Formats: sequence, structure tokens, C-alpha cells
Amino acid sequence: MDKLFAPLLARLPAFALPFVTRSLRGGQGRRYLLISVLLGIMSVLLGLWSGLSDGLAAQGVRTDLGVEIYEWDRQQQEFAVYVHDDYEHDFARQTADRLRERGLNFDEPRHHEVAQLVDSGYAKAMAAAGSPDGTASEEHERLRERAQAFIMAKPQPSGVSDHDRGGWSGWSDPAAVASLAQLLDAEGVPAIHRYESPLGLRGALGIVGFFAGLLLAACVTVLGPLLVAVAQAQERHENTLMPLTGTSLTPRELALGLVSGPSSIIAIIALPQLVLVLGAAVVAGKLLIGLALLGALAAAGLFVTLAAQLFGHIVGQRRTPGMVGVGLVAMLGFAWLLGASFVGEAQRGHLDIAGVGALLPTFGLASLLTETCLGLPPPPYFNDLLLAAAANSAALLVFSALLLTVLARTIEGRQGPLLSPRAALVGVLTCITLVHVALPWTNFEAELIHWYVGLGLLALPLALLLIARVPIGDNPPRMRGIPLPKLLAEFAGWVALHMLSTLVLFSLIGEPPMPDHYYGEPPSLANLGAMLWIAWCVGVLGLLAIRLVAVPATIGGLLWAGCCALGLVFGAGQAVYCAIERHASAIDMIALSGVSPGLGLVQVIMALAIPISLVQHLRKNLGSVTGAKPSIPTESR
Amino acid sequence: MPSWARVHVLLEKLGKTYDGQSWAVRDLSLEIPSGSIFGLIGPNGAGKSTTLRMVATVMSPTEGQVRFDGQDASADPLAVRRRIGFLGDGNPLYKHMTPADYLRFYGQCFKLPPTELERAIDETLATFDLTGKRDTECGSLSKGMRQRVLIARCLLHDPGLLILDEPADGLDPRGRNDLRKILERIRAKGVTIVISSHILRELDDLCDTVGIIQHGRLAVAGEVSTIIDSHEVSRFVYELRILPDHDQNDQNDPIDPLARALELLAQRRALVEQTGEAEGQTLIRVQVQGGEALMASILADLIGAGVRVVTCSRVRSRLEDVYERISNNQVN
Repeated sequence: MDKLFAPLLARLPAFALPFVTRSLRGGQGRRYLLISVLLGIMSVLLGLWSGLSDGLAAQGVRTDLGVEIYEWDRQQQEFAVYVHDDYEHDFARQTADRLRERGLNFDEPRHHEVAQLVDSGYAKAMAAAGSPDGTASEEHERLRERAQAFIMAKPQPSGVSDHDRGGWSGWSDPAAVASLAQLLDAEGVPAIHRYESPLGLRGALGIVGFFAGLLLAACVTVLGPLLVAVAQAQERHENTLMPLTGTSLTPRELALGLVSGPSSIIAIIALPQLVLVLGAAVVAGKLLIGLALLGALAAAGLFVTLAAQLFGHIVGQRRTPGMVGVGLVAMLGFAWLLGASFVGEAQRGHLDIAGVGALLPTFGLASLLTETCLGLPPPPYFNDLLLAAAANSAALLVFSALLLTVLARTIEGRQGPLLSPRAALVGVLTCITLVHVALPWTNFEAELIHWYVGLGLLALPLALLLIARVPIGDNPPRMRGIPLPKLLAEFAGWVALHMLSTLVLFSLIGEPPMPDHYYGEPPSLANLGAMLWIAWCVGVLGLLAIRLVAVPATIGGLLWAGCCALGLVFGAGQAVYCAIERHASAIDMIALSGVSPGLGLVQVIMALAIPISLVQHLRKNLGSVTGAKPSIPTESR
Repeated sequence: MPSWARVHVLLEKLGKTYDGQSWAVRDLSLEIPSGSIFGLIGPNGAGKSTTLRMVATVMSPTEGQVRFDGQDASADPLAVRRRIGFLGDGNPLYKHMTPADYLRFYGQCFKLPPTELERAIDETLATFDLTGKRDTECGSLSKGMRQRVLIARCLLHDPGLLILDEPADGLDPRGRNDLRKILERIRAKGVTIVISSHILRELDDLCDTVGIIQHGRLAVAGEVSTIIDSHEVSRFVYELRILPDHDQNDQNDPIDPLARALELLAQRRALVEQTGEAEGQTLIRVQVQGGEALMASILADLIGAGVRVVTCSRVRSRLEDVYERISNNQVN
């Protein structure tokens, strides 16, 4: 045992000790420590360089992060040209001097950006001179007169067209007015400045914290889960897990222990990054937001790690650990890209999507990280997002507890369902709450959205919870008794809970008002056609979920299940159609009959065939679909 | 030694089907006395591993039950599992760990206190002659040594029952011999051992009791000597040793003693199973179809014919002979 880590190991709980000791055995702990220090130094250097360097690459990083405005916009605002080297500086200054000496027009080679700014400045002055301000402000009127005098005094540059006269709308924008005054003060010739980073040490430390935060998030939500999943898949693949189940560790302790080994490596690597993020939060005066970020990150990390462990456990039985790792990286990478794209959408002012933070933890994490470290003013959606992220973190803790139970029972190989009815219900209620937090409340169709879009969002998690309720074991399907009616009733009960919660919530807060320009009738939730199709969808989804876990997969079976899933999507669309078409007739309940009677007949046949075939398949392959104990085969080997 | 060290195992009508149609093991009832070595013998695919997995509680039986000291194992399989050291078929090591690290890892999983654990590691390594390889990565050890490390792991927590599924598979003769010595040492500590193999010579003189399993069903079970006795009642095999040269006093007899003996045995309808040489004497193994009186008569004829018989002893059957008769040569 490495003496460096001995005091730390001595304090570990018994379930973590063997796995952490194994991960840090020999000189491995010291190696991870070295990597950790190097990564910490790299974050600091990269952050300081990005914040303080005057180079183009660092400037690009700053503008991409939003801590510096684009150079073109800055030049327009300040009516000044920023140059990056001595040659460019001399050339730009020469051009400016000659412009002053010879008026705004001369034929010799000119510094491109200076000439461009002169042209745009002259065009702006020309436009302002021909556009009286509607507010009749004295100051603005004086400025307009100065602009008129300016264009009279200076010859029109060759790059400016007469079409630019009049039509200036910048009087209402103080920044544009200030820019006009500046160009008039400078008599149309921009100032020449050497480019320097606009950020001081404080701003640079914010970027250090941001980079550290990115690395920390990558460690906690990608690298850590990846290590855990691969290690779990390896234990499963090489059959080394089974002997561990015979030790003094309970299955729950074993599940946590298997997480703790790889996590100890991540903890060592990520520790300096954590310190840097906290330091940046303190410097930016946003310690509370920083702590919220770390809390959300911890909840997301725990959930993703346990989910990855379950993934590794299930997939690792048949696939190599490498395949497990590749699959997981693809999924986690997609989740992060989705989160980052939502941040972009939200920054563009799409406030309604702030609630998505309740469903997609990466969205909340990315926003909180930006807010904590970069010192930007909080966007208008920030409070909504904070609420959504808090709900998401709480929900992830609940899901983590459920995942741990599922993992423990899976590792133990216990017969029966992975979750009790009560535990599954807790999961269902958490999902329903998250969906209500995520979906908008102000839209006049909010109730319809909560009901139907909510059901769509709930479909996958509820199906997964139903899978966890199906009794499993190492008995062959023919020897299993699965209480199909009971499970389907439980599943339908969950869907009913969602509908009930929607009705209760909207009856409490009242329906949002209809907009003035809306002439249609509000959609009807209590439409018979919609209800019938929802019931059909619930039944088919439940049967598909049960079939997935209870019966061994065959290629033909999977193809038919895929067809059923497509039918499910169609059925959901049909339910929404019936709800929107308030006066839908009986014929409208079979949408394809509107295209042709033959297609309508096909739709009816498929609507009957899909559930019947699923039930028949289960009856054929299972020992019993009523939950009764199946008979023991009499045939000998 | 812990109070539960000696474990008595009872299998009651144990059955397992993987596909719900055919049975891998069926109607298997057995009693394994505490402190004994029980050998489960059978050809590949007979159901040995399935049986041992069910005994080790890592697989649940489709029917029947396993009882440990009278308690049903399915009631609390985890508690039962902690009383067992189970080396299944294909339990690889963590190749990058040393034997000491590997044992420490398992010892910590059994929540052994640090000082006790280090002492147990030292003792176990010494018991298994692995002290010299303490800090060598397991991936660099020979197969026999890796097997020893695995068995050492199974014994680290002082289990009352050790279950070994084909432990000698792939070992060279020296490795098998070492394994045999180690198992005898473990038995001396009072641990009940259940061991499976399809190689009968491994278990012949090691096991106290054996069970022969075929097609998932128990063909015969009991003490080795009892099984042999019960299956050789009608089998009389004798080993004769004769001097290979002629009687110096009988110069007129030119016939080779072996040829003369074989001719006479053929006349008496005795079946010669084997001839050869041992310690300078000619050896004949012969099976007679008439009991000890017939053999006495044949012996008198041989002596009368001038064959100089040195010894005549009855050959006891071995487990392998019994098994061959039961299984119609389905064993390796």
C-alpha cells in the first residue's frame, strides 16, 4: 500500500476500501496525482493565456466565450481600428494621417480596415444627417446638424453610395448615437490603437475557472462513468464479479464499492480543477452559484455513473468492455452536445426552453458554469433555469437511489422484480414532477402540451420503470410466471396519475388566456377518440416493455417489435389529432380512412393485430401470463 | 477455527433446466458429510458444474433444494455464500495484481481487520507455497500457481466448505500432485471439500466419498471402497508372477513357461487381460469365471505343469473400473 495514501485509505468505509486500494495499488496513486497536478497547471496556463494574451487565437477564445465583443463590433462602437503588430500599426497610422491630410479620398494603397471604417462612418453620418429624430431631442438635433456640416465639408469617399442617405434608425440606440458623436469628433478618421486584451487578471481567473469547470464536468460526467462502466463490463465479461458476491459485502455495498474504485482515480485527477472552480467563483463574487454548480454536478455525476455501471453490467455480459466504452462515450457526448446547443438557444432569447434544464442536466450545468466563472450579467431566463436545474438535481438523487437498488439486485442475481411497487411509484412521481417543471405554463395550449407532450416525454422512463417491475431470474421464460394484467394495470395507473396531476395543477392555477388573434376553439382533452388511442398506446407500450425483458430476443421478434413501436408513434399522433380536432367524427378516429377506405381498414386491422400479437407472443413463450406458477417440464434430457 | 467451520451439505431432489424443456440436472439427492472430501465424477456435460453452482448458491435450482446444516440455502443465499469458498469453472485472476494484492483485496472484501488480514495473507501464501511469488504479477505466474492463488483466495476467510470445479483442468502432473497435497492439507483443517473432475485418477485415492453423475442424474454415490466392493462381486481378477526361465532339474522341457501358462489358462477358459514383466518376473493378469475355487484349481494345474509360480494375488477394482462399467466408457 502506498504510504502517501495510507491515512486516506484508513478513513474509507469498508465497502470502498478494497476497490480504492486496488485502484491506487503500487505506484498508480502517485501517477494519478502527477497527472492531476499537470492538468491543474494546464488549466491555469490555458486560462491565463486565453484571458490575458493579445494574440488572435486568445482573442478568438474570448469572443467565443462571450467575455469580449467581436473586433468589428468594437471598432464600430468606438470608431477606432485595433491593430495586432508593428507593421499593421505603421500602415494604419500612415493611412489615417493621409486621410486627414488629403480629405477622406485618396488613391494610394490604404489600410483596409481603416478605409472600411471611414466608409461606414461617412455612410452613417450621411444617413443620420438625412434622418431627423422623431423625439426632437435638442442634443440629437445638434448632432444631426454636425453630421450635415461634416458631409458638406468632406468629399464623399468612393466606397460610399448615395443610397446611404437618410433612413438612419440609430437615434433610439444610445450606443449608436455615442458612436456617431465619436466619428464626428474624429472628423471621419478613426483612431488607431494597438490591440490589447480587455480582460484584467480577475477576468482571466474567471476563464481559468471556466476551463477547470469544463474539465471537472468532463471528469465527473464522462470520464468517471466511462471508467466505472468499462470496469464493470470487464468484471462481468471475465467472470470475476461472481466471487465478489460471496464476500462479506452486501450487494448494495458491492455496487457502491465497484463505483468507488474508478471514482477515486477521478477524484484525484479532478481535485485541482474543483479548487480552481471554487476560486474563480470567489473571485467573481458568485460563490453561491458556484456551490449550486458543484451540487448539480455531484447529482448528475452520481446518476450518470450508476446508470453507466448498470449499462456496463448488462451490456458487458455479451459485449467487450471496449464496445461498452465506445457506446457510452457516444451517448454521453450526445447529451453534452444537446446541453450546449440548448444553452445557445436560450442565449438567443428562447426563454420557454429554460425548463428543459429539468430534463437535461447538461443544459443546467453548462449555464451554471458560464454564470459562475465568466462574470457575464445573468440572462433573463436564469432564475427559471436555476429552478429547473434544482428540480433536476433533486430528481437525479431519487433516480440514483432507485438505480442503486436495481444494481444491487442485478448483481445479487435475485429472483423477482428489480423494484418494488412503492419504489417504482416514487420514480413515476419524480418523472411526472420533472415533466411539469420542464414544460411551459404560459402558453395558451399549456394544458394540452402538459398532457400530450408530457406523456411523450414520460413514455421512455415509465417503460423503463415497468421493465424494473417485471419479475426476472435465471429461470427460462417457460418456467416464469409473469402477472401481465397486474403489470399493465400498474402501468396504466401511472399514466392516469400524470393526467390527474395535469388536471389538478391547471384547475389550481387556471388555464392561461387565449391570445387575441386566436380564432379557433381550445383543444379538448376529454375527447373520446383521444382517450381510446391513449389507452391503446399505453397497452402497446406496456406489452412491448414487458416483452423486451421477459422473452429472449430473436431477429424476427425484434423486427416486429420495431413495427409495433412505429405503430405506437402513429397511435400517439392519432390521439393528439383527435384532441386538437374538437369535433372529430368517428371516422376521424381512423385517420387513414380519410386517405382511402382501404388504408383505413389496414389501420383498424393493425390496431387490433399489434396488441393481440404481443399478448400471443408472451403467452407462447412464458410459462404463465397470469402470475400463476408454471408447471415443471416432465421431459428428461 | 470458527464454530461453523464444518459444514454438512444435503441435496434434496435437485433439478435445473435452462430452457424449460430438457433437464441439465434432475432428481439429484446427495449427502456430503462434514469434514470429508466429496468427488463429483462425470463426463463433460454431465451436469457437474451446474450441480456445483447450485450448491454454491450462485445458481438457483428449478426444483429441489440445498441444505447447509439443515437450513435451506435459498432462504439467505448470501449468508450461506460467506460460509463457502467456491472456485467455479473459469474464474480468472486480476492479472495485473500480485498474489499478495489479490488476497488483500479479497480479505478487505471479507472485512478482515488490517493486522489479521496481513497475518492471514502471510499464512495462506506459505500454505500454498507462494511466498516466493508474493510480489509477482499473477499474469506472470504458471497455470498451476495461478490455480493455487485462486484456491488460496477461496480459503482466506476460513470457509467451512470448499467447492472446486475441475481444479486440475489444464495442470501438468506436478501441478496435480501439488494440488492433491494442498487439498489434503486443507482437509486436515476440517474443511469439507467438494471437487469435480472428469479425470478419475485425480479423485480415486483422494476422496472419501464420490458421486458419479451421468446425463444429469446421479448414477451412484457413497464411500469409494463401498462402491468398489459393490461393483466387483462377480469379477475375479488375479495377478500371477512366474519365473521366466526353466526348471534346471527338468532339462527335457524346452517349452517357454509363459507359453505353457497361457496354453493352460486357455484350456481352463480364463481370460488373460494383460501380460508383461515386473522386477525380472513374468506377469500375467487373468480373469476367471468361477470364483476362488476355480483359481485354486488352475494354480495347481500350473504348478503341476512346471510353471514356477512365485505369487498369485487377487487384484482389487479401481474407481475407474467401476466407472467404466457404469458409464459404458463415456469418461476420458
